[in-house]
Amino acid sequence: MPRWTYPIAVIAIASAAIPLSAFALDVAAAQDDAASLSADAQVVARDPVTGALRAATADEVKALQRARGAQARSGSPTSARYVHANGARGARLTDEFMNYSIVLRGADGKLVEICVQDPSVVANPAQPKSATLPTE
Amino acid sequence: MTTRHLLRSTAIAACLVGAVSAANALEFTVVGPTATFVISTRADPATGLDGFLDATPVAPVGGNTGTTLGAQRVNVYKYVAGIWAANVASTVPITVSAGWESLQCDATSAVLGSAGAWNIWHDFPNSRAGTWYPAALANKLSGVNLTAGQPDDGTGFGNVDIKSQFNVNLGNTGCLTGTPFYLGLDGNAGSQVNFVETLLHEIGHGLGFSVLTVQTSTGRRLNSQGTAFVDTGGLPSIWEPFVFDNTKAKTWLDMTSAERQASAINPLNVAWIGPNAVAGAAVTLQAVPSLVVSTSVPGAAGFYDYNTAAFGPPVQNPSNFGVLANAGLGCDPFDAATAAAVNGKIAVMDRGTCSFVIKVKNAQNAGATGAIIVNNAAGGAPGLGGSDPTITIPTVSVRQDQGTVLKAAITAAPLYGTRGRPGTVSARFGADASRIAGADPLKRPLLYTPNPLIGGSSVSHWDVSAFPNLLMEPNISPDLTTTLVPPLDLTLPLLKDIGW
Repeated sequence: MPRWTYPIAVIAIASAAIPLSAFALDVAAAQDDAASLSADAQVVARDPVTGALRAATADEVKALQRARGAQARSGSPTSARYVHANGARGARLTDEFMNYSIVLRGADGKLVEICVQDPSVVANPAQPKSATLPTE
Repeated sequence: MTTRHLLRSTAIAACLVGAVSAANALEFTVVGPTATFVISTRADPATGLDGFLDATPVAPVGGNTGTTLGAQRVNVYKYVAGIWAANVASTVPITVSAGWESLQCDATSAVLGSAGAWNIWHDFPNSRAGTWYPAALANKLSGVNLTAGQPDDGTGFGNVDIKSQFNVNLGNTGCLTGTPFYLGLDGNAGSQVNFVETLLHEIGHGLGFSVLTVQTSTGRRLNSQGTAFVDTGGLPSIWEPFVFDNTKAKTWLDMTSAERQASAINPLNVAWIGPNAVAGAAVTLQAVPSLVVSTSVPGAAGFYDYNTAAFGPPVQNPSNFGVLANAGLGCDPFDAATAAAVNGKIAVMDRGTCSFVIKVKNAQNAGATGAIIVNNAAGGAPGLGGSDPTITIPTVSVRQDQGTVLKAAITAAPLYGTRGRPGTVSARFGADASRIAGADPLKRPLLYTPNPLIGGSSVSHWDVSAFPNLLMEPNISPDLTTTLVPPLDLTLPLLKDIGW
């Protein structure tokens, strides 16, 4: 079974230490057309027939960048919208919809594991660590 | 275990970038009796490394035979996918993207990980009209992979049903130092974080145990285009027909946004009415654990809600507790009269002014055999935090209103006895059979709707009052099993209610 069955997967590859996914987002949001890609960036696509990676065509790069740019500008809670041939409509969600498991160590040394959507209580000294039981 | 695990290690994308190591990815398939999971791994965007390929040698642990960290992580994913693949049914493989990433943490707290549906659909064959579904369930109901063929977003995992990621640094210095994930499969996590339960819980959300497309802070729904949360005209999620507010006497399906917003913070009044979960609750949820008070003082005998303490010995239920005696605030060493009153009895003290452990230690020093802390504010009986390893007597808390009745009864009790045998108030730990823990008066399981709202947690979990503890409560408890069905759990019945 092929890993992906969609027609084309476009993957941006950056140089050296730039994280792959972060680079892909940055490029897509900041650039308007393929010609403006920086020299140290490559964009590859997964061939839908062979499954192998190959250089993306200019049209594929443009499609990626248009999609990213539109997402960045739209403020939409979803990152992509689809219409299926059978009439169904779909959307791709974002990390904003994820459920997070966090763990806090209370004053008694015991761990409390809770599931939330806003993980900002972790590593944020200004926020009370509410899972810790009151002590008085 | 009947599930057949089939591992297909496929080198996917060798995105070699400069001097950074190759970020090969794995894809492995878990074929269960009724469903198949296809799990694709991905690299940490911060390092370019795939935590499933971590070659750090480790010793096999708790039935996990992997000898590298990466292999053990793969084994846990396979194990958990196998559990799900033996419970849910779909002819369409369920796809999961999995990553080990550098998530937020400090020395005492950490984001363990997250997961959720990554794609959603509405108005596909066999769906409820005008209703958002998570992709895995939509695929099951329609019989096809709806997302297949849609343009990817450049990540390589844009079309998966479920996206998941966990903290690659957990247990390292500065990241919940010294407390890594327990990668054993036997549940013996001890003081470590049980990864099996954590992953089992999170994949449950990804399959649809979630309010999904309703913004609980506003009650707004996602519109049909998926472009905005809207006050009116949005589509309900498949969660909503089964969420019933006993105060409003209607489901979320029939509410305005404002009503849903209010319902999300209506504690202990929002029930799940799906028939499978309701039937399951009848054989799973048990009577409410209670402090059973006996006395001849009118109006005082009966069942009292209680909560437990993080210090001292755990309370055994059922068991006898003892005769109760008032001890005031308990912040100073007890005077002679108070010490005489509590000696050999349970000291009842008001919350406030000093810590719980100071009060209980003073009571213990005066000869008390147990302690009850009466809350000093409205609300439930609070969990009692604190630490003092020298405390050897059990402690519980009670609600303020019930504690007021209790204290008055203790004061009045002698008059209700005889000259030679003054009346008393005594207590034991038992259960109130007239109430089901975690269910409404009609014995329908309650959803978690605390006030104030806990975003993402509220409405998308069972209420924390459920007894025994359930997998899909917001708190992942150490006593959970990997069974998803009654009489141990209600996860699968709820998923069946929404269409699984």
